[in-house]
Amino acid sequence: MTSPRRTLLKVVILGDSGVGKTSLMNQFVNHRFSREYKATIGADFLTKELEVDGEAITLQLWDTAGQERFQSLGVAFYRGADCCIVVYDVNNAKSFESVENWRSEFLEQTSSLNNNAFPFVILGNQIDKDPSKRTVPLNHALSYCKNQGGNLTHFETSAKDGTNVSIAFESIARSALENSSHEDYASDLTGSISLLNNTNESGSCAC
Amino acid sequence: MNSSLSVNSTLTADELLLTDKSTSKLRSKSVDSVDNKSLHSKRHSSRVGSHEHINVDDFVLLDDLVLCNVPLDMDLSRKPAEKDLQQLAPQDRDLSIQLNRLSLSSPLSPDMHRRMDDLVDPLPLSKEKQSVLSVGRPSWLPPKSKEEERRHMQEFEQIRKAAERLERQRRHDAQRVAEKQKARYKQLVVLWEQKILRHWPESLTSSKVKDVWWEGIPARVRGRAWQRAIGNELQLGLESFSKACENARHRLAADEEQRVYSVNQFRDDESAFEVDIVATMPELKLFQRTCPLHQDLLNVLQSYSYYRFDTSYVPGTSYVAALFLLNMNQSFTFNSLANLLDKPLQQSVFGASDSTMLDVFCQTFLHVFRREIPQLMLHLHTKLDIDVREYVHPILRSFFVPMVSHEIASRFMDCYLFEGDCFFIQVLLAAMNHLQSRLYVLDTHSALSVLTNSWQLDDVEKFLAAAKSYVVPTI
Repeated sequence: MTSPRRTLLKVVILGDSGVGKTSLMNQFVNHRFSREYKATIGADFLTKELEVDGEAITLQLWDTAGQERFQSLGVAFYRGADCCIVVYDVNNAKSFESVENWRSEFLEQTSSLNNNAFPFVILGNQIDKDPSKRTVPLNHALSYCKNQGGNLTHFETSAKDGTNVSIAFESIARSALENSSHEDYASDLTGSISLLNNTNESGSCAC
Repeated sequence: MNSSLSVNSTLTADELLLTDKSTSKLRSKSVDSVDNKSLHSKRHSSRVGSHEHINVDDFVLLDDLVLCNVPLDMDLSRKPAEKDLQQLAPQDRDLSIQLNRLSLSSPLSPDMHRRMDDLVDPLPLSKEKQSVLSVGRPSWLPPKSKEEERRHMQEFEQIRKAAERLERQRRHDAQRVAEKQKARYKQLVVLWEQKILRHWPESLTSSKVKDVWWEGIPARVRGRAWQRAIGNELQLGLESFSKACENARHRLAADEEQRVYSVNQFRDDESAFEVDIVATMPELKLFQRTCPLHQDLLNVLQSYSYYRFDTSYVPGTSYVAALFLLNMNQSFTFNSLANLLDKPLQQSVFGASDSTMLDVFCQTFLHVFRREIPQLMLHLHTKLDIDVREYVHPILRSFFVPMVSHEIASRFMDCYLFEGDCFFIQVLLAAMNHLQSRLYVLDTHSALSVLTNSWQLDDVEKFLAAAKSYVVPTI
């Protein structure tokens, strides 16, 4: 009762399988990295409490499976997200090409009213690997983000040694917070307009 | 195996394969089936007839003929027992040692034997033999002539090219189908968003819209379309869910505080939720404890249980609630669930009213079932004496979720909400037809299990087309 109200922000992490979505989340939340690869089934989520610009927030990070067979669940995963992270592997050109697919899939499924304002954070992961193996140069990724014109931020990270991870997630939290205060993203709410005004379902029911 | 066999020491190592008795039954069976004549002839030609006491189970001699038929899973690494070796004549002992050395140094691991294709010699070939062999012909058959070999290579090339062409064509077709589907999906999104939802309900009667739900409602509009189609007869608002959720929470806390161990309905419901949630789309790992949508589902079920305090939890509610949660948020799920389960057939199925509607449904179903698939109907209901409600009830109250994937269950919901109760009869008939071969079983339990577990449905379009083709009188 006495603690200040925390803002709950939902963030979804997308990207091809094996790019390091789960590892990034684990590095950010638990400061741990595991060499073992275990494919995520369906989705998983972790929460992390942090403070951004003096505001206490709880990030609810939704780690999704990169495999195609889970893509039909998009609506359930993406619903109510305040920010979307798309991860690629800098050593895997195909995973970078998929970034745009993931982004458009997300926008498509969420029927976001204001596509250009919705914040995406693009993360090029696995920069700890041998630089000679890199297939996605930094300027490629930067020019992609610039050309898309939307609300895109880009970072290169390493889930293994933690490079840029906390900086990236801080930026993610800030974007999510900004987006939630606009709250013009309301996919579910367009249907029965007469009924709605102030819903904060996750806030009132989380235990 | 009872017959005994001696080793013919004149055979070269190349043509011999030595095994011992402890290998699989499969092998001894195969050896049993070997042309007896060949074994006999070997025995007669044997120069060491005095060693006939050596058991065939210790040494089995296989010639090329045998190799063609025997599954090659022999254990080559085993040495014959010392005492068996002592029983051999000197020259045979030499051979045995030689053979064992050969088998030990053999490049073929047991695994390779299993994978080996019949065209490959199980043992290394001599240089002389290699030089005359033809490509693609077993080494124990005479080589092809140059002309024949050339022709075969040409034919092989033709076949390979044709296969490649076919594969390219197949990929191309698949791509075109995918593109077409994508384009149609976009059209459907526009149709639902711009026309159907905007001009509800007049738009539903337009010819362009008629039957469009049979194609499936695009995921991004599905939640909204379902809410519209279910309606809000109960006049539930946004606050309905949060209030019910809060009250349910209070009651649970109060219960906990007073340590009320006496049996009460709410407590029973709580344990029933847990049981059902575990079984709710387990393959998605979304609703079970510690999974992302677990709390949402529990909130909805607790709120609904609080809201409908007059009835206790009916198993299956969790399935339809989960199906809604995949497409809408908790609050809308709660409202849609309450409104859907308040419809006459659902009231009857979920025990909120008497069974009249369910009885009418079952009678109509049996009537059409008898007309459409009379043999199966007789088998299930006369021969096995199954009561129709034994499967109709569990199927209806679970909204098909345990029987099909969540995508297909969503497709069913798309149609049901617009077609009404008759659609369930159409689905049941299509299911009977689909499961027909598995349903001609001899006991009631197996038949019911086939009907109420996974239907192993792959082609939903075909299934729905079949369902649509059944003419069902309105209930």
